[in-house]
Amino acid sequence: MKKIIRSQLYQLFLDKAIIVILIPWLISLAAAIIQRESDVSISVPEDLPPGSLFFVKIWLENHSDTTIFAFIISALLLAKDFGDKTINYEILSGKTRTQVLFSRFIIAIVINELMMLIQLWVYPLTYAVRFGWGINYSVRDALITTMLMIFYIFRVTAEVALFAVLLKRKSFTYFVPVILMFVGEIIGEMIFSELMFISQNERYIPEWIIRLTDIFTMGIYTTIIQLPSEKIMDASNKSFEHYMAFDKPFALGEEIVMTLGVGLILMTIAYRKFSRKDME
Amino acid sequence: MNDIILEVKDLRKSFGKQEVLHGTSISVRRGSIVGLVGPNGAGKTTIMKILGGLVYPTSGTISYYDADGNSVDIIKARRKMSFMIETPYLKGFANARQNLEKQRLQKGIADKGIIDSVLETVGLSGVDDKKQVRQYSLGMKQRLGIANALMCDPEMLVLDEPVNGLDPAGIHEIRELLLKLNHERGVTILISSHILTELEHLCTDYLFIGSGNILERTTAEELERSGMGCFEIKTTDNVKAFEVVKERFGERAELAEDMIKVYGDIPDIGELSSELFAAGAVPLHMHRAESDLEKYYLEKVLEGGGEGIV
Repeated sequence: MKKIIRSQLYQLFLDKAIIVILIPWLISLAAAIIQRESDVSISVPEDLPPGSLFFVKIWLENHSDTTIFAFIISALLLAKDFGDKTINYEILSGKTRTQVLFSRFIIAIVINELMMLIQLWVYPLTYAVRFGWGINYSVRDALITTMLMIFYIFRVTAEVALFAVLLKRKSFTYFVPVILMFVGEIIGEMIFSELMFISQNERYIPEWIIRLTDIFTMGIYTTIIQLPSEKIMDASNKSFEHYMAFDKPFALGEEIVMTLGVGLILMTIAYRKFSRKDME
Repeated sequence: MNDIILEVKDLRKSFGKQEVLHGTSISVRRGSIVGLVGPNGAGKTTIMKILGGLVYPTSGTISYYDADGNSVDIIKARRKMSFMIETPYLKGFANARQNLEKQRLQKGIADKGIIDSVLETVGLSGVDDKKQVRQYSLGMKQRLGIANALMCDPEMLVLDEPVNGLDPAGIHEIRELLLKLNHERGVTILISSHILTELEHLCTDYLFIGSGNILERTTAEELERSGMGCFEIKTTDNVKAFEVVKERFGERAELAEDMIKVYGDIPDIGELSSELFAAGAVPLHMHRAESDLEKYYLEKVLEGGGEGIV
């Protein structure tokens, strides 16, 4: 597997497509920074924005970009070699399909996580050094958010791996997961609204149905940024009233298990399909 | 040491409801060059893809060297082999050297010099490194595909239409290269090609395949015996001439109705002419008969209609 990873990294270094992807990523990062700099310039000295505020702002404004770039990077690493059939050489030269798929998956995960960490932390850290961390959001909460994002990126990469294996036209792998992400958000929100309506009519809704909407949406991640971690981890007061008030308490462990679980299920399906697939 | 290095038994493959291989069995001897001959859709590429692990057989067994049954052993055994199936799989945005470097890393070959060596071997060493593979002609891509296959110093090569798209000079070079690999390094080769004359110059064994069945297995020698590659000699006195020819070529010589046939090569035709002349049989006609592989192919494969598994 180490040999395939080395060969993949070499290929990534040669492929200009990675530059085409990184340029808009850097632009989006720079745009966020420029935006924040203008905030600084209009702030009075005693009200300088601390690192924690920028962690929250950057996260809220850029987390969709992080996901989209994660989708595209994963597609580049996982689907492109299917498209030009160079993946066939690895099988022909005596590599197992497990090695072939998981070496790519590992690279995609590592690169996506690195990009996410850069996007999430570089600017807040710079500000924290300049003006302190502040009170907007505790470091502990920021770390919990980051940890959840690590699992979320795993899920995103697993989703692309599945599409890379399933889709015959590999170019679709670049777009289908992104489109599905937006469709998922819309469906999740629609279901959630419907559940709210039902609840208003005082009919009982099982907890697990409500929780399922989180599989589709990133709502839970938006919530976490708005709540202190004590509340996040206190799952004892879960009730639908909290959901209705957009005050969704949830157990951290439960959230991790759910995200990781979905990712593992997608990855398992991708692996089973790939390990039994006849290559074109 | 086992003389049979590849053995396939009762191989079946279905795509959906359509069965494309109907219990194919083949074996390849170490050091041989086996030509897989058949029309489009006969199952040649499917067999090669199954050998390479790209396609799974519906049933049947494959063994490489001494590995069989256990899929891990089969995968490991594949590391001694190199494949080029259909068109070479190359990265268009990279140059030849970069494509080979990627393969070198993937195969874990320590010697970086291997890249220059294989490029030299396939005649691509002079190509400008600024030229990306997507700008290559089909023939150049084929050469690069072969270079790729040679990277790991394989014991066996499996080549699907390797001279496809090459000009006559290129075909000649690749043929010489394959013969050299076979003679000097003992590389076993399984090759398919639509250019039958090309196979004739190369192969020691032939597998004729039609509609997913192996219709005939024969050797180059047997094929020669059946009329391929023989010299036809006519003289003023064929009986006298036959005595000379028989003494010189033994069993390879045959007295036909109005001529003498000598199967295989005659290294020095001038010397034979002199001997015949001295024996009082003036040579009137000495001619190498045209290839019969095509005729054989037409008889066995096309007219056979996929019937009669041997």
